[in-house]
Amino acid sequence: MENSDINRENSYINFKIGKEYFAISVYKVLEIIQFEQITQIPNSSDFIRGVINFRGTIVPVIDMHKRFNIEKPENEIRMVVVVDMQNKENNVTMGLLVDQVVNVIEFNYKSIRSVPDLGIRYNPEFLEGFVEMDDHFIMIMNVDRVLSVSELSAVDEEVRIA
Amino acid sequence: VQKGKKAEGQLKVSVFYSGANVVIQIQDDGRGINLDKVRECAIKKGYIQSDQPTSNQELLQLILEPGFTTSDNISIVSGRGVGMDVVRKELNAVGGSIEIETEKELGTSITLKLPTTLSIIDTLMIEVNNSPILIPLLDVEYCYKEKRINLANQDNKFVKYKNNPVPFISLREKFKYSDHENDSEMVIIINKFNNRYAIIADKLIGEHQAVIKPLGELFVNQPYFSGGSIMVDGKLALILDTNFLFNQIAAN
Repeated sequence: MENSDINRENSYINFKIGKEYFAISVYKVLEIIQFEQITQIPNSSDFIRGVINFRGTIVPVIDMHKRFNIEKPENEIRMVVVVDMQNKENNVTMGLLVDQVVNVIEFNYKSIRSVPDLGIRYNPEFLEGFVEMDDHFIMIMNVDRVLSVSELSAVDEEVRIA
Repeated sequence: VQKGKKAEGQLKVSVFYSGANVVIQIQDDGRGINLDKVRECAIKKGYIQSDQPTSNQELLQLILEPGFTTSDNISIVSGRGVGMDVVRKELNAVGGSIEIETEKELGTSITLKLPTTLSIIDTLMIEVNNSPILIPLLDVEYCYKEKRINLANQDNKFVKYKNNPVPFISLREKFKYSDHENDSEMVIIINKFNNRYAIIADKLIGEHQAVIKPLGELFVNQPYFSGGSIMVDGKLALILDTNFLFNQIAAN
């Protein structure tokens, strides 16, 4: 695994959702693309913004503002970070709709600190921890948890019957 | 025979397209699955607690568990509870699903859904709220333009087609899009097993040969679309499941 050597620096993609900084291990990321055209799917979960054509397959795009309960800034450039996540035995490809991809950062696994349960607006399970860098905190996202297939595929019972 | 049925059993197998899925439906007219017996066996084998309430659908899902059987006479090959488990595993591997319905004394129906991932189908492209939607051309009987007021001002949602009333569904309404300003709508008459219903859309775009792609696991609970197709400009169009809409109309 990527964290086998505990003293090694690991690379993470650093991006912004609203005013907050988040990071995902580069090993998870397939590509970063401009958010352009998207096809909405009526009656699917609120978290799903729609689907895009990614290298010839249909990939869902997840609205990170909704998922993390963060307000949307106006007129930002939006980017889609396409990641591979693990769902049971399968790999599932999904896109994360974020505001801005900042840079690639490197830090030691040991410098990751655990998240306090209090004081954050979203589910603490969504984070693996955080690091402090350039005077701000960077939250390290637990991609497999944030993109839980069972949670994202849930649709109101009402919708299914309606 | 005692129940007023014929002595010979009847097994009905039907195969048809449902949007981007191939559906295989097997129906018998036997005595149905004995749910009490399933429950009894499930408790005995520890799948459920004896005081745990179960819905019929949950009990039916248990039939698919490996090693689950209600059979009293087990032979080397038969009645060991392997068959249905294998069916489910194979279906899951190709992204299909299985549904079981049973009615006591009336029979059982097993529906297998298989995605037609690598097939090309001819479709009619329509547009609702600026997003393209594909309808399998096989299901389409006729299309025409209709004035909006003619559709809006009625309590029963019917259009007149060949002097017969045909129930309609407005996709814009169904998908909870805001209303549009156009003064005309497209009416698409769908013919499903010789039953007709109409779909109301904003615009007709034309024919489209669609290579069907699955929407993926996140959309297993959304019943309206069974797949998607990538168009020439790289955009995606969704394939409407005309069976689901038909069943909804039939249910009302």
